[in-house]
Amino acid sequence: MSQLNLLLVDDEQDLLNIMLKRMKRRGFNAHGCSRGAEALRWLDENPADVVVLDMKMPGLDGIETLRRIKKAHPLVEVIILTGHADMRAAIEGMELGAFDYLLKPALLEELYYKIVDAGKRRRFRQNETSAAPSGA
Amino acid sequence: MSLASLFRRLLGRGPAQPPPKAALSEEDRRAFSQRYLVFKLLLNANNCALRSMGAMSGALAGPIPYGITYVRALCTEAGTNVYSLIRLLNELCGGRYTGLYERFAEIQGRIDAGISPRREALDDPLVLPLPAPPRCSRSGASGRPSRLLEAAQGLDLAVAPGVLITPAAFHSFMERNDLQPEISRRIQLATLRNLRALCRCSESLCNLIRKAPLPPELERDLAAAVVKLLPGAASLAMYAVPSIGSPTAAAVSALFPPVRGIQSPEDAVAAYHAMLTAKYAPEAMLHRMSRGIRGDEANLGVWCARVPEAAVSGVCLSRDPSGTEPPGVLMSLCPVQQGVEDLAAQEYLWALPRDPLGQQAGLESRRRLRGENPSGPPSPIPDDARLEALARVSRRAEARYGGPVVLEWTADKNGAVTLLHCRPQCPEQPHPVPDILDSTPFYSGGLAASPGLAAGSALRLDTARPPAVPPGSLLVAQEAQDAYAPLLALAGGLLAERGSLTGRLAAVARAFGVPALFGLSGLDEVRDGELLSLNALSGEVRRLTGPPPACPRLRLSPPPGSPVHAALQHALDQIAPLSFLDPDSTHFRAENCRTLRDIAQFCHEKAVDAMFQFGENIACQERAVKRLFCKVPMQFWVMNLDDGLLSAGGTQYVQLQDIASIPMLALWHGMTAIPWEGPPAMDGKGFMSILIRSSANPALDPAVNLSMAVRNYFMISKNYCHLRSRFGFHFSSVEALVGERTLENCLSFQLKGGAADEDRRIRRVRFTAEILERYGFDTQLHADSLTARLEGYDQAVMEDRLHILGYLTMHTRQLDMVMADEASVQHYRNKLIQDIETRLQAGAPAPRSRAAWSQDEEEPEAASS
Repeated sequence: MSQLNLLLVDDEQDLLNIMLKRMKRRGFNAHGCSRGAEALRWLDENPADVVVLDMKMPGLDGIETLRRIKKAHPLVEVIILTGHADMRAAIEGMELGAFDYLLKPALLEELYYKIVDAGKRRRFRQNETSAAPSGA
Repeated sequence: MSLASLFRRLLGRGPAQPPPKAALSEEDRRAFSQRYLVFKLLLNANNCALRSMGAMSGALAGPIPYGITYVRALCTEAGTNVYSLIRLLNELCGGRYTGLYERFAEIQGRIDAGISPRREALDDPLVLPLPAPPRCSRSGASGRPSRLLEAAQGLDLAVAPGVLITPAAFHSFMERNDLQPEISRRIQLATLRNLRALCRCSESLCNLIRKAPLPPELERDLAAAVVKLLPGAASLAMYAVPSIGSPTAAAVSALFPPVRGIQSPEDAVAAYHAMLTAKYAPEAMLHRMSRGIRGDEANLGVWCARVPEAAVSGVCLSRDPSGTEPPGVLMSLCPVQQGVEDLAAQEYLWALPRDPLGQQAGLESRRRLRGENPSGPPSPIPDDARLEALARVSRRAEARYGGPVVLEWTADKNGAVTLLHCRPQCPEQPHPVPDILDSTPFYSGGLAASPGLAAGSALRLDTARPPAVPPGSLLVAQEAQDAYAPLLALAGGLLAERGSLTGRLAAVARAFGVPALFGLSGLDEVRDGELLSLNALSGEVRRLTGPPPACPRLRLSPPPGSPVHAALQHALDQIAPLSFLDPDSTHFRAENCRTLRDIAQFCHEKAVDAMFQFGENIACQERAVKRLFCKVPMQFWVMNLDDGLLSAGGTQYVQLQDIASIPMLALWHGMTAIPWEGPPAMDGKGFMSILIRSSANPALDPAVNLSMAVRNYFMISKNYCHLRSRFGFHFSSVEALVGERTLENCLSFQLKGGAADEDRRIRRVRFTAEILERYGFDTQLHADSLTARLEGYDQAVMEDRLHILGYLTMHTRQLDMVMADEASVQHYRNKLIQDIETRLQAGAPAPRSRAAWSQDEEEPEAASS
């Protein structure tokens, strides 16, 4: 299986750096952005299988970023990883098509396996789409 | 049977297989895998939802410290996982259950209503001069300063004028800076498992508050008020003012240190900031946890009083904390330049009779408790009439405040007294006195700063070393420093050589209900770890020769009935009860789901059914469902969902060596390691009940075709196994997700039915539940049905427990028939446990994973720390 392309989006630069380091060590092709708008620009130009997205960020917040990601890149799976335990916002994220919702502090192992599963799902969906007759 | 098959069976080389018809195409295989992935995600979501629900029940019952942030986090976790379940089930079943979304939204609304914070009177003015015009303030906070005026009426005492910075001001500050979500986020991130984590979190929250500006209109109003109050005053002072009627008002007052010496509007802004910051001091956070107060609701009022020029200042506790009966009034006095709560060495104390009114002789009996200051007592000491007036005002204030009070006052060079502030004093907490007075006192003559009795292991404090406090320790300090305040939350008691009985640390000890003695000399002889007792009433400290008797100790988890506990209970009521017991009942429908647990149960059952039905499809069955061959064809069929087989095997049979499923192999080992000795010998009644049940059950008719419902099926993948088995009247199922992903590992076991009468069937499931609990399973019983779960252990432990489940699946069959009496139950209990532990060699102890409030600083690697 080819290397999974992972985009991490979090406005806390220290945390982002730690996660990037750990995810690269676990074999993902990982990239980090600290703003929603920056993530959208990056996705327009680079392939990604899975995005791990924070909710509260300056500028474009997590929900709006998620909405735009799913619109422009419907096959990309998005895992929300946030410290805001807000049930309404969480369900809104799920309704917008988030693959899963994890509360910080999440165990690295838990996040890792969620990313692996999200990557598998992304590949199945990709195959489904490419197997579908054109115009369907 | 042909000769060839006979040979094959005898040689154990497996059955004759017809030539393979159609192997699974790549496309089929992908469809299977994709379907299995959805199913597995659903299982994970179900496990996570159940784990959150379990954590909620555990928090409600157990000693784990938590606050409203934790409640919200668990609700959010349970909610998102149940939402995932609904989405994944609809994906498996082609959108057949979209009605569940409506049920979910209703339940979510009910949960939200119970955990959202309540807001009190937020349309008050931000800064309110007092006495307030009638109906000007709807919050209880403004009442407190006004009541002091009432209490002092007609006495020769002045009351300092001032302004109230209302709870509405605090709310406006929080809202304008959008602070509450960020505060909740930081608390959520901090995982407050120990004191060090809490102190780190507290520091980060205090920094956040310090950096947030006051709303401009608040700053303007405050400045205007300060400019009016300052002329002719020595300075201004700020005090926290909790709302009247708040059950924790006394503690809140004690935990917020006053800020004095305010000389300008800029000072006032800084002082107000300092008051707000104190809300997130470690001791204040710990206190909220221990009393179950919601941090997101506790709005704060601040009283800003005008302090006149004075020579001495004093504090009056309307009830002496030593616990003497009848309680006296405790007065302290010190030179004003020291501040009323500073430097105990310069403090003079008197204990006066509680009711000096009409007893002039009482005042003469005033006792000078301490006066080591070589320069003599500070002067002037207010005259007897004024001291009597102070005692009287404290008594009147008690009636108005509904309990003991602390008065703060100053006196000018002529001895004229001005009252600055009155706050509730923490009530005494009754402590039972264990019988430990059989040794000679080690120290005596201590002064009670907080009442009660404690015993425990000594822990010496010094500023150089922020200690980890083993819960229940007796803290031993030279100076009663404010910095020790957070440690009191975990301590059993406090001993200090020097400290003010009316000072902050004493107040915090009373707020936490921790007995404390000050004024003990020579404490440097106490060694760390020495077992001591302290008695605040007698002022004595003793050495213990035996283990310390059980003394009441502060619980850090919210007490029943507190706001946080109530919020969790409310959420749990919407989330955890299970209305459905029987998936075969006609009530088992989406529209009847009343809780998140109902939805989870419904989704799980329907998803497992959908997977079985997928296998029931004949076209698939030929390729995906095979009969298990283990020397002979077994009465078990195997449905491979994804990667459960090492090789495809033949078209009809699959052999054990072809199985790749980790949980199935472990379960099978348990099922077959110890041969079943056949049905136990039963008594006459047991036999009759079988006959009656048999005649009523059409499934036992040999003419009825075997379908999925009655066959014994293993549904497997490499890490998954679901066995539904039915032996006559006995229904059992084992579901296992086992592999290297420890966090996802989970076992569940169900047992119900039986052929005997109901009493015996119930006895059998109870008996089985007891055995499972012995090996760490959580069990639930409903009539003759048992559900057991175990999760979160590594693969080796899970395989060991699957051996036990396999063994019990086979060996509890028909045991209901012999469950006639306790002796019989005991006999089989011993036999089964002996089999499990000696012959099966299972049941190895497994460590529990979660600590309540640990000293352990090692934390698992988090993605976000």
